[in-house]
Amino acid sequence: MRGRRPTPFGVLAVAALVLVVLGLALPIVAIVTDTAPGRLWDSLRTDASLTALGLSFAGSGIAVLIVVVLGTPAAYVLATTRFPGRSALSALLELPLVLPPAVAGIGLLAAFGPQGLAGGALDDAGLRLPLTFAAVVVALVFVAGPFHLRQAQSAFGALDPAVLDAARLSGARESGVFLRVAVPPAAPGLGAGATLTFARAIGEFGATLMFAGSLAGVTRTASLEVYTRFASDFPGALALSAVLIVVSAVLLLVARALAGRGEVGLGA
Amino acid sequence: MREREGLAVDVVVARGARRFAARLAVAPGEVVLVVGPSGAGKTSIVRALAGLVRPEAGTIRCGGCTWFDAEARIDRRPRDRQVGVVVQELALFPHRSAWRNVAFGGARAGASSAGGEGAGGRAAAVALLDRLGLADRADARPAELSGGERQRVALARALARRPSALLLDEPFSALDEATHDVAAALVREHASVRALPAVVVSHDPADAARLGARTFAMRDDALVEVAGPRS
Repeated sequence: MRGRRPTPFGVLAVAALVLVVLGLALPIVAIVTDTAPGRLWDSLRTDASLTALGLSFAGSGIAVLIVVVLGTPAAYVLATTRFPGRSALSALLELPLVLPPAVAGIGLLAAFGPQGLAGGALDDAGLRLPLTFAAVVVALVFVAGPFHLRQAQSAFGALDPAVLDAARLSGARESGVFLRVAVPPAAPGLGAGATLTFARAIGEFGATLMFAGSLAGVTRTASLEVYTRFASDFPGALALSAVLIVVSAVLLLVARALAGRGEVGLGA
Repeated sequence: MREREGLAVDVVVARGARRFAARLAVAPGEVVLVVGPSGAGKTSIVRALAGLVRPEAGTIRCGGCTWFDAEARIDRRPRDRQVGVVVQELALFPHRSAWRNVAFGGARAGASSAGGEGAGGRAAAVALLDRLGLADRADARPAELSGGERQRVALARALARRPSALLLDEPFSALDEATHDVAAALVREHASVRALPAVVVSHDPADAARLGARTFAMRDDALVEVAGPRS
């Protein structure tokens, strides 16, 4: 303020900031402080907690793999070619980001459930998704995939089209243009996208519950385990939540560092 | 050695509402200079020759191959034209060092061990950079290079891949007088030794003498020859 008196707006803005920080931080602080270290360890050692965490990590890992393998070339096409309906398609692919989780779950049931649009075809192929681990992965891909799609699109969109042309002029095939010229400079953005997808998948709850159910040891991920316990074993739910907070915080830091390196905004 | 066919161009290229006409023949080993103010359509024509823009009409042939024929619906992709190109934006690969920019794509040309990014490829790339006074910058990334250095890396990349023709859009504009002379001499030598037809766009009419080139200019949106070969 360099010796000047604070303006009324300045005071209000700082007060708003304090309220925002308190409001956002209090639940997190409460979880961490309410969880005694010994108690944390005891709760986590239970089979149910470890199994749920394992399911979360395995499901999220597989989902990220699928999203990266399919989503990265898809985002490249969306970012580097012009065709009618491109921006509408791009918006459609982002829709799961803002969809209410219950709606996402209903959508997945309507599509892949036994009576769903594609359910008959899956049934004929001997595949029954609901109440299986595969259903967890499908739900995570659907809900969390758009984070990577969006980040990858902005990373590829930041490439200079003349550089891609230069690769073609230098004799590169389209696959070479993608792998050797487009992906390396976009890599930090792609990494940030994959990390955000993983973070979102680890925390997924609603769509998983509705589409995959909450079968202990099969589809009950860490978030669902927290929900299952909160009535009967509140300290146990707190302990598991503390673990999820640490995991989420680490993932967020990684995503931010990667996005910073790629000069791709997280929110953009 | 049997006389090879050079570059034979007769096209109309559209840019927005404007139409640029270009008709020229460049013999193997010959350099042609295209001068004129910016916005005259020089770049549009070079981009059409490289295959980055599809002409509205006409034909482009090079070395006995048809690159473009509007009536026969032939339009070879840029990678199949095997041209050495410098574009005005330079378009260097930002994540690759200078020598890896130069060596890029050499692997596919494949015929010679000089291509690619192995030890031979590096030696060939560094030798080319050395000719342009950049041997000590071979490991620098484009972001670490000056404008003039970047331009020379782009030129080296265009010369490196054993092209069938050279298309150079303002390859010397950021170079000082001495480097400009060296770079122009290298272009002239490459065209002559490898019997390549070369089209060089420049705003500097003095390049005609440096390159021993015939000079063309854009007049009323058409490419016309304005001066014979200089030496």
